[in-house]
Amino acid sequence: MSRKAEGVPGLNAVQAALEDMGDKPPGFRGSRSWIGCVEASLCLAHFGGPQGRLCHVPRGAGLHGELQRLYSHFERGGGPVMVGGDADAQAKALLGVCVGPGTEAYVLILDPHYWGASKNPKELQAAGWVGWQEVSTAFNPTSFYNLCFTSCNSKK
Amino acid sequence: MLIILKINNQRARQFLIVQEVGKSAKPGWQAVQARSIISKVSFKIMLTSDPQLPYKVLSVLESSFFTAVLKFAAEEFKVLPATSAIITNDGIGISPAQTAGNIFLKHGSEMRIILRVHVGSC
Repeated sequence: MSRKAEGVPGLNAVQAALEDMGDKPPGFRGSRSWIGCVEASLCLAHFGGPQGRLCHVPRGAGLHGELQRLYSHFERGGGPVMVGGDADAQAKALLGVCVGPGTEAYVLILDPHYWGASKNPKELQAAGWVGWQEVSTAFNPTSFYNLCFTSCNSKK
Repeated sequence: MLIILKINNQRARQFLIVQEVGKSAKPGWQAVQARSIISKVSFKIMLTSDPQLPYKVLSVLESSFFTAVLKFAAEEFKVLPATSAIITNDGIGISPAQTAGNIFLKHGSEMRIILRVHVGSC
């Protein structure tokens, strides 16, 4: 059962929700087990947050095949796209896409691993926490990826 | 007796009616009474991690929890249920603690099985 979101739920609430909805086995609460895009999309629905639609990119496919979808998503006002991979285990958030006339394309990547005191945008950009990266180099062709496209619920 | 009921042009439910024959007060007539209705739902599940996009059609009792569908699909495709998930064709994640019948009514029969990111614990 989903409830109206009241702020961002903490880790305990997220783990409890995943265990209670049957996605994770008993004992998941309090564990250090992984939470990825699939779990995030289930929690978005459970807590009444933005809608999260999943897209699986198989190994070897690369993200070039999803550029049109990413472009349309952001053009329609879509939110950040959460990205997780297997061989490429560094989670990312996509905030934008830039497509040129040829095969060159760039994505605006936010590294979600930052923690600590908040910094101004220029400092974050200078330290590499957010920035444009060429698609071919930012994503590992040997990895599969799951993307979670977030967008506001029209019913809210 | 097998009856197929169409809810709309794209969805159908199968009902298996188990009948028992009993006695009737009217000579020459035999009463038939439905003993129970066992309904099943079918899902067509595609493996998205394979470029060939193979699929399997699974039929389960509508009262089954969807975890059974995930388990059967994972076994058919020889992937681990714990590192797999079933989503709809338009990307909605399926919370497995719902009945197959409920999922069928909400989302229809066409689904995808995807691999999850699973790198152990942090």
